[in-house]
Amino acid sequence: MRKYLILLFVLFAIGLFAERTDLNTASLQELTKLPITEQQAQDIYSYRQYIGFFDNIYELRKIASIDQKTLVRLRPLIVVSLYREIDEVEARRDEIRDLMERLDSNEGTSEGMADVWEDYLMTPQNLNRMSFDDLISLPNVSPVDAVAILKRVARGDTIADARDLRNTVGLSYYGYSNLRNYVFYKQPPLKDRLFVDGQIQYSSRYFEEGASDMFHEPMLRSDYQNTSITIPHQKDKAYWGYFNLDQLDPEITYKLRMRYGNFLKAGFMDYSAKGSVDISEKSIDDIAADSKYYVGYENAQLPVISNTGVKLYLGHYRATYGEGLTMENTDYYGARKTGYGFSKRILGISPDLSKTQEKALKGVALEVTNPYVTASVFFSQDKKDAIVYMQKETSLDDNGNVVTSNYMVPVQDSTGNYQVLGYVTPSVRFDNDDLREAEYHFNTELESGSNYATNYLNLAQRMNFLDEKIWGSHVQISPLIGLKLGFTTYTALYDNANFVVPDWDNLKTLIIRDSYYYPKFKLIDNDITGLYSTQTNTYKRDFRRVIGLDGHTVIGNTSVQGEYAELTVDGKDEKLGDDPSAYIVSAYTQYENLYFLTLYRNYDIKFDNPYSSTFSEHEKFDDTILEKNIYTLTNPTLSDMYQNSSQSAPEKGVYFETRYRFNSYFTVGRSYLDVWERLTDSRRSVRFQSELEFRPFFQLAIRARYKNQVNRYDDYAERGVSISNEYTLSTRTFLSGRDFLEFEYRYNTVWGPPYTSLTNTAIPGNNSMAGSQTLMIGDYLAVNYTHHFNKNINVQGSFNFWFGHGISHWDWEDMEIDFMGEKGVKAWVAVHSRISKNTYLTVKYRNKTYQDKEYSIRAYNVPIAGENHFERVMHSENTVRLSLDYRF
Amino acid sequence: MLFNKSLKSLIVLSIVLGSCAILSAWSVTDTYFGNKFNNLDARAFAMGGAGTYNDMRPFAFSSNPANLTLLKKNLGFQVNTSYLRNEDNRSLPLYNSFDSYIDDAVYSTNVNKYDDFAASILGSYTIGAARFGLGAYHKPLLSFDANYDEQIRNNRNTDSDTYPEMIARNGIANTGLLNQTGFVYSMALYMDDVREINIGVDYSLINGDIEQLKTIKWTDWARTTVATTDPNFVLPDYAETMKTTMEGSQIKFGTSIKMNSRLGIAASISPKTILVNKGMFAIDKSEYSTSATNMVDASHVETAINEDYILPTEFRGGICYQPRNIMRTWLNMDLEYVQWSDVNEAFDDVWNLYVGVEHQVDNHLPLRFGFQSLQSWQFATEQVVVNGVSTDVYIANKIITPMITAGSSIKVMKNVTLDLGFGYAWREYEALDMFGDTYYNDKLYTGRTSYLLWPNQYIALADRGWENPDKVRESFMTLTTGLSFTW
Repeated sequence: MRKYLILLFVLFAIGLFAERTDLNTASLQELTKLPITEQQAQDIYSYRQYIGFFDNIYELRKIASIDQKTLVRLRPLIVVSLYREIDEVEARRDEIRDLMERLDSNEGTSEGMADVWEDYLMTPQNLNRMSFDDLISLPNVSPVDAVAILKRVARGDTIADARDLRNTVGLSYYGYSNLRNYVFYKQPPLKDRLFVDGQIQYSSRYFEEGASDMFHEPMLRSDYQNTSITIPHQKDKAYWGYFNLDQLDPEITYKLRMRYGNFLKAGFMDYSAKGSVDISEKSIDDIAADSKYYVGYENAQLPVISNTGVKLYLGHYRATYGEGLTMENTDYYGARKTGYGFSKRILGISPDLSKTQEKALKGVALEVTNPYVTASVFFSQDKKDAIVYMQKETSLDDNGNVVTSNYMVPVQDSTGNYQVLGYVTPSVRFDNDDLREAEYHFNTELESGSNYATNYLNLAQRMNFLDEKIWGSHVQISPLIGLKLGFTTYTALYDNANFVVPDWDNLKTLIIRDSYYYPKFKLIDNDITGLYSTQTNTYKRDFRRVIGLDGHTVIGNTSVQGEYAELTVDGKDEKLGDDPSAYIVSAYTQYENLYFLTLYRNYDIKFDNPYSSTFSEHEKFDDTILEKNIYTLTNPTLSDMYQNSSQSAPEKGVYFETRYRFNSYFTVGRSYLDVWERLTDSRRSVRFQSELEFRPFFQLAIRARYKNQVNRYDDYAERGVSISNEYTLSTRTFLSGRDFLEFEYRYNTVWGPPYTSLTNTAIPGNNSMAGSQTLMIGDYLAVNYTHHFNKNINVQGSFNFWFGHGISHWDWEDMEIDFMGEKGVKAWVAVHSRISKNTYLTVKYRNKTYQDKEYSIRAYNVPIAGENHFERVMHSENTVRLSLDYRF
Repeated sequence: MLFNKSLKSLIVLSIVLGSCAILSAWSVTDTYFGNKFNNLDARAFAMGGAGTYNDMRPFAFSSNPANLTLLKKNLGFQVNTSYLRNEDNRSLPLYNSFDSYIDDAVYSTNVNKYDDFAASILGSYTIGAARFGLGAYHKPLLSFDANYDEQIRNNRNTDSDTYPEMIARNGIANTGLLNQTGFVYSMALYMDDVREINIGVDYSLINGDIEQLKTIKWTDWARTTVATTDPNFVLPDYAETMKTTMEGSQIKFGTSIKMNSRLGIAASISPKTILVNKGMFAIDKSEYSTSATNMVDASHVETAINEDYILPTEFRGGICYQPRNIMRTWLNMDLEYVQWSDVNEAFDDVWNLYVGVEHQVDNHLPLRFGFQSLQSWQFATEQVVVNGVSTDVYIANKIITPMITAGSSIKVMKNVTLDLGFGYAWREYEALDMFGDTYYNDKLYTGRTSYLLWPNQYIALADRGWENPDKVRESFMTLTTGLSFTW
């Protein structure tokens, strides 16, 4: 840290005030010579040492022990030289503080991108040398804005400062205000130096409902039509009980990033998720396998070749191209990821310390950028978690007889390769040896069942199982400003396993344990049968290859972009249209206070690209048996394929979005209409949301939002139809000192169709058709408050009450989203403290108390007579998050 | 005027302190290892318990003996009180229609309160570039206090919204406190105006009496019901009693180093300590009726206890950072290593974290907040049948207890400060059912083939073991106060 001493009033100090004591330079001994007590001298010294230098002598009154009389007595004896400690890094950090807080707050959704953006906030890029991709990768900067700037620079004009930037023709105010903090014009605000960002985060949380249900599902013997079978009541017959997931088990993250300017970068991150071991208990091999790390070199302006930049990363990196259809490696799914506004992509190669584990790329990546041509190549070699085909272990006893054990081993084909159903991002990454013991325990129970069920775990998760090598590349040409054409491809090679996905009938018997439940395997489960196989009757290979073409152009104030991708299956690589494909195209028109976004997408069912992360309403496997009927699965943890799916569901449809600011009083917030069809079962849906904000004066904003979704709107007699409405009214007040108070009320309705069933033969007089329709209502009330004691400490808090009655509510907290079902109350408080200019501490505590569904006790699969019915079960959850950051 | 104001403050203070000396109880889970008092200094408590480097309060040297001379006061005195509310909820597992374990229903809730106090006194003096200090403290080290009450009822008439009959009442009433009285010597060496090294040693005597009582008492209704059928039918009450006395001594070494005006580092270590635990354990089964039959015999089985009780090695390192901030700020952070393998190889060693901040937000009014995460071990034994042989199985279960804290202080008068600290901690873990259900099987005492006390004959009363344990959720609310005087 460099400090600059600005000494003003030097002449005054030497001349007029030579005999006075300078409060900002005097030693403690010198202060004690003043006509004050030793304690007062000490207090003055401590104030200067631990709070700040004096701007004037009257600041002495801020010290509790200095009263007015003392000050008057001291006034002729003291002087304050203007002593200012200026640290350019601190000054820069203060300047961008709000944006940093906003990025941290959105980290939960941006998944690692905040790191990159924070770096650019601290050490901005030279606006006059930025490329199109650089500009549109920044949050809330549109392609139209980017082209406006690039055209101006191409004309030989140099943008001199922020005011000059504002004068750029075609640049919207929105784009300008979001861009200005990420760029510099002539001189960077900071010179190149070492930056260090360390973070320790301790966070306790509870499993989300889906994962909790999944782990609770028992591995019990089937008793179908066999009442003599006794079902034991033992918690350890489920993953939940076996692995003691009831325990309070915090997640701990250690993260360290270092960089020299924007050139040399290095980082390390270890994340111990709930249910997994902490770094202190991991072996070096485990840390190497599960942690994230990288070293990288970036130079936006190579010395030899003009206008050419390079990025080289070793270790973990992210690769994102086009619309994320071919390659965007993340484990996290976000609905309606348009690539505009806040749901941006950082295009190209970037370092990766996100919590993404399954789709992490580990290896080497090189990117060379030029205004006309951009090329990148990347290689990754990593072991991936997978759903693996299992069989019982066999061995020979002393007599040479084959003995079957309840231990499981992976199935191997004649070539020795294992068989894999698909990738999986486990909710808990259980150790493989522990899983093996658990499966032995479960199998012992399962084999006692009837013949109607699969009596062992034929599919199971395995951590770091699949050897995957990825070779990928991206080439892009940009003959004109704003026009670019790109080609992306990657090939994932599997050295030790084949992806095997049987046909409908065989898959049904494979993943459903009890034949009684085979009818549950419905049309929507095409999503599972559509998984990619490396081995089928028509072809055999050991890889998966995806090829993509993307394009982008800006015409006037309209940006058109799109991507087409194809997964190589039966067809030829060089021929388009002969394999499962997906495409997306969007047009974005921008005016000063208005934009329109129109987007069309169409993803084939069999386009199974695990590395895609693009726009959709639903994630892959949504509504399938993996989500809805976990209890039918041969292994409940198959549901993790859905629980943590990051891929888009196969769907096609058109999406419109707009935002319009009428004037300073009225704004139509982000509003959209999506009409789409889910391709697996042809369900057609429509979703609409609109928001109106009225701001009669700056301190007050009143918002009204309406959301509506209709599923299966084309056939109201179908069981899948539902109509949801959500009405929200909120009032926000922006108080003095950046304090904030908000009230929000939400009212929901969900309408379901009449569910009819015939219980007797449908003849006159004998028809006992039961029909009912449901209308569920729910509401939600929230009060949010933020109070800043001063600029370095603030308290955020919220109180929520909700009544769901079958409806799920959501709530965005300080930096995470929470889903709430049924009814309950929740309160949280977070203290954010800036300990010093480098150190930040956040402690957040939350209590959520809610009632859950109805439960009843049963004994041995038979209801207990008498009182066994629990109408509601109360849950009380305490969670805490501690985050300690050091930024140097 | 000053006197009146101070007097008023002292009166308020006396009320606060006095109110904290009435009730007593602790968590029922830690009957073997007890409940450790972490940091009774109210200032450090409000900062997550972090205070290995602490130059602010006279009680600090009870955590690290080197803090005695770090304080740089000729004389110091502090008294702390602690008031705790413990809520213990025990749930039994529920199964849904698919026999899946889904969640829990609380079957007993116990709320108990306890209080304790600690005090310290010190004196130190500077001679040249060194300072020498002596001090003594008295504080509770481990509490074995616990109270638990549980009712066993059948389900008769519950559908009519009335209370079902109470069959028996289970109780745990434990009392016991290990007190630690320590004598501390510390020395500081001043390297220059700012830097200094303090080293200290703490020798303490530890002693305490523990009495644990676990009872099952049949209700009059139960006794009457069986006696009405046959006067010879009696139901035996059950009692487990343990009375022991623990004695021993502990030594602790510490150092606190002021590196510069902003940073201090400190460390303390107390090696493995062995206490002598002597006493008796008895199981009593008593008849209620004086007209006893030969079906139930009164019994008293007593076993002598003479064993080593081990306190594990504890190493604790910490920092104190005082940056320049727009408000006076202290950051304390401690990391503690507890070598539980000293006690038993079945236990892993654990790390505990303590973090706290003090901001003097406005006019010297401090706002303190902090966080700690403690890991402790739950120890239980269960009898299981392995290959037809009844064997004791030892269950070692690690429990994580996070706590958030907050607090402030008031300067009562010159040299006298009242600190207040509040903490909320919680933990969730599994535990063995403390009272096995087979004891309430009246068929065992009557010899009949049907229940007299249970209306539903299909109920199979069986002990739930570790395969189907209770889920326990505990919360702790703690209020600490500390009154310190320095001169």
